[in-house]
Amino acid sequence: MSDIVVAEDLLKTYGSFRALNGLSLSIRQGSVFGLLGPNGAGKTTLIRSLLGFIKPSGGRASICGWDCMLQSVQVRSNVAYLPAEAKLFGMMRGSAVLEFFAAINPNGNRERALAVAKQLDLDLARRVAFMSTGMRQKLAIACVLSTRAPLLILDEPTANLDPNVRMEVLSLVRKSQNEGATVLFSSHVLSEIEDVCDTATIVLRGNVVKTFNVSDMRATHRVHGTPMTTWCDWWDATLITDSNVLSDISVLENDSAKVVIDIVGPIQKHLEWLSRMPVENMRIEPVGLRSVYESCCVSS
Amino acid sequence: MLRLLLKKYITETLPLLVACGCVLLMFPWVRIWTVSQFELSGFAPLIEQFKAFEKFSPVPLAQFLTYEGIIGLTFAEPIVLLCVLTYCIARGTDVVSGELGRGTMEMLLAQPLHRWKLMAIHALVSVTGLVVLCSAIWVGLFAGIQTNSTLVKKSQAKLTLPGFNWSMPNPLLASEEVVTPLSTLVDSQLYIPSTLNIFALGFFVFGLSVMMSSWDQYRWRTIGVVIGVYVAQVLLFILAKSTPQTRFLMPFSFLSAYQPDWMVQAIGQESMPMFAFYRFNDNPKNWISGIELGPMAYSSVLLSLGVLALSIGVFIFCRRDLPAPT
Repeated sequence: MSDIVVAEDLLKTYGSFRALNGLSLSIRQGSVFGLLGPNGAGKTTLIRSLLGFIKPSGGRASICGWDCMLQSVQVRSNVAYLPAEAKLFGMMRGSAVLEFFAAINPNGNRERALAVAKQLDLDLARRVAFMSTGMRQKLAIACVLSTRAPLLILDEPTANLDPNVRMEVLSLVRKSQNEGATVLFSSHVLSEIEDVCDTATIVLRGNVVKTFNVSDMRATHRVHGTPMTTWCDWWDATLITDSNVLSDISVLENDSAKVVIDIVGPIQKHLEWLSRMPVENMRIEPVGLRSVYESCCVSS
Repeated sequence: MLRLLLKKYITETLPLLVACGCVLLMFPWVRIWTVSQFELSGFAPLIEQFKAFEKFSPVPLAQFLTYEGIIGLTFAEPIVLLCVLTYCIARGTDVVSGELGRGTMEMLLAQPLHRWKLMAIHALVSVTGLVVLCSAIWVGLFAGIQTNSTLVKKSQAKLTLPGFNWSMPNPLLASEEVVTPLSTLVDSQLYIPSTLNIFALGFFVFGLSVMMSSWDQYRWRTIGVVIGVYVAQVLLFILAKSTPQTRFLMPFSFLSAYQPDWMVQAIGQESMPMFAFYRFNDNPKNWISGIELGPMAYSSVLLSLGVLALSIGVFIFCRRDLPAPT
């Protein structure tokens, strides 16, 4: 599969502040790509640069082969975008908003939009001005997820939604992926990224600090323990004799007080080796996105 | 896509357009009806009291003792200017900073749509609305002139002395007042250039509002800036008219190109062609020696400034970064 989104050395400065600091990434066609990072990391700036809303100070980006700065209209013909806290026309009724966006977008379809709205249990007879924040968000989601655009860019799509609707939205994202769409999914909710994304990237201070495959991350386990007195000798011996084991592990901490090791791949393969490990209070847990995210933030 | 945007902008414009349109249609009729209740020559002593302020008037005050002149004053009425300017500022400031302030620009521009097209469609709808408003003023004037009558003193019958080719008023017959339709005293076509002039003023203010809106994020600030510019121009215009020494300031106020009263006088009294850009004459008040500007010249200045402001607005909007909704 080719890359549908390519960004190279994107730079956006506001005075001396660098919102994007030479950011590069690529998104494989047909994948769900998670974008993670704390507030102010540059996620929304990246999305707005891709859509041509802001002009980067340097670098280049393309979507479906169209240059994001020079061919912004062609780019937006291939994108359906859901902004964080989407605002819609207050005077219109829900049904009119759906019709408007279904008609104005070449990939839009009114029937699909109505079906998504029904799935999200939306009252379309009400004017947008009289809708709650959650209802407006659902309406915007219906407008965006009903399109057949090759790329969906969703910026915090589940903000303001109750847990049931969140699950519906995630299932709609998966459905869009199954129908061939690529999804760029920006969120602060780590569990959502873990649930729905194939690949994720962590952005910090305007740059990508880690990109990883989410399924690989799920197959990784972390071992914590307190080393016993024989630990050093055992570890030195392991380095010499168990080279096949070492290819699957990475040592995060190794000192007299604490040992932390990540094991990639099926844990069963390493259980015998782990049973010989001279550590006390051993604890084995799956490496969640939280661990990856926190380790990135701490190391940065 | 264009049809949808047209529909959206028409829906947004309609309430204000209908409200202002009703006022602008009714007000000239009511004003003419009020004027028709008086015999204007009775105001001569009153007008004489304001002789010191004549320099602030675009026309001699005696003009206001004619029905043509007093009806022409409709274009200087605050309520007429208020409606036209309110419409133009409200619509002009909405196009960029209004949509940005409401946060709806984000969803709108996420669609495959050129920014200039967005502004062009908005301008098309708004300017069409302005045409409707200005037409409403003229229709109101026309209806007022056609449906109202006034009392006019008929001159006394004259007595011609037999054998002499000489006549004198008949002292035995009292002068009488005759009900005369205003349509026989005033030609409503006289106000077409003035209507175009108020359209041109509105168009310029609309262009200015769009220009200010195109770089701003907050509509309230855009409205404040446009009103500030307008007030500054009014003050400059008054200053320019106050003394001969400050007359050089006149070209620096766009209001010096808003001359509906003068147009009525020039066309009605001085035989200025209705759609003339200029004519040759030696009036010492001429800006250019030997050439007197015509009604269309003044309106063209405002229209050109409006087109320039709109173009600058489009240029700025097409190049600027869109701020994230707050």
